[in-house]
Amino acid sequence: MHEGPDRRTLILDAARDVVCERGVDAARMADIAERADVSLGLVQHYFRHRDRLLAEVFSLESERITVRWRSLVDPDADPLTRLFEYLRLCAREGTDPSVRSFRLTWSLWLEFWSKANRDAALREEVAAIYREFSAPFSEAITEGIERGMFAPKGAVPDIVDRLVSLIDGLAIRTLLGGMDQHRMLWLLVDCLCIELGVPDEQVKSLRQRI
Amino acid sequence: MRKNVEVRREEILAAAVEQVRERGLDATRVIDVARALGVSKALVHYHFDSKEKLLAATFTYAAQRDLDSLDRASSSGGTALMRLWAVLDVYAPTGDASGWVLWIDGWAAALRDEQLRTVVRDLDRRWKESIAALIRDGVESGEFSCDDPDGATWRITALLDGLAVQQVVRGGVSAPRLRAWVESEVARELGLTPEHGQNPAIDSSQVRSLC
Repeated sequence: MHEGPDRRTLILDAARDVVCERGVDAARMADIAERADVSLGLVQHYFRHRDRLLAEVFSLESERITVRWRSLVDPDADPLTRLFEYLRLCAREGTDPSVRSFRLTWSLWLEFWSKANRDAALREEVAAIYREFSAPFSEAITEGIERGMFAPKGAVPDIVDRLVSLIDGLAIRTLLGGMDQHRMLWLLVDCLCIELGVPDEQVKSLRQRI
Repeated sequence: MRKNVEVRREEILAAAVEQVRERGLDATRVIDVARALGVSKALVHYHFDSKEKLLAATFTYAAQRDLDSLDRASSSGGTALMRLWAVLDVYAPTGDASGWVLWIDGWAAALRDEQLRTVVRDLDRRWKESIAALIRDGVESGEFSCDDPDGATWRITALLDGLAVQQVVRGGVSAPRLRAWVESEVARELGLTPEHGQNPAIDSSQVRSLC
């Protein structure tokens, strides 16, 4: 029984890979079992329904992103640096072994949106995932305002919503063609600085780090 | 006879667009499209010999419909700002966002299908070219002040794409709030005061008839 959690994660990782390769609708329990090299019965034992398995795939991925961000970004760095690092993590190359490739990460989210479109249970998951994804941005922006570093015109939740939308929108076009990761980061930094009223000097020094 | 065949083909594609919006790309079967039209599955197969071909043609057809709306909006006359808003009103998820449902499915499928990826990419390129051209028109006529029309186009359209995802998938943002965001983004990019960035056709009756 003690090996339970590992096998569970193994199945979830296999499911994630199958979803990315074949698409969410074509990912069958049997394909996932085969990929994980376990029996279909074991997959059913852990997850019972395919929908439950898929919901867990997406929430695990979102949790991992949060954990990764926490471990890769120094919590004591100043808020602007943290925000820059988050944006860099969203747009970065897949060369760092600690980070899943851009394409794999974002293709999973495309699948997730396409599925959540028509799935009420998954919609609740979407709200939770967006909250989790937005939290580091909200915290850093709020701290920056308190410390007098930022003077935004809009409210913090609105700024974060817009920033997250822009990240999603640019990632879609980077995946499908027409945009690249470098330019994506450049545009994100521009928008961040405009939203927060960051002085030109600091904008310049951020750009040098792209 | 030839004309009848063409009309049928278009009817099938229009019905397929509706089915994909409702059911999702993968769940749409040829029989669903046939039933929606009250015709036989054989007739659909006469025009499209596989489900894959039908769905590929469905996205091409939807893209063409979007581009027709884009052309009507961008040639609708008036100031550059009026034309830009006519275009953004067709593009943005501020009104009827149901068109986006189809494209969100299409994006995911395009990752695995090169033909579809070309359709998606060409459609996106056309939108961006039109928006950038309208911004340049406005800069030339002195309406807008913008150093980087291509960058501005990217920031505006990427924001709209991302907002569409949030709107369709999460349904989180109210339409007036969304509209206010888009207006302030446009105003900021084009060097307009917030009041002047507003959509001049705010009651949008004229724009809506274009969609």
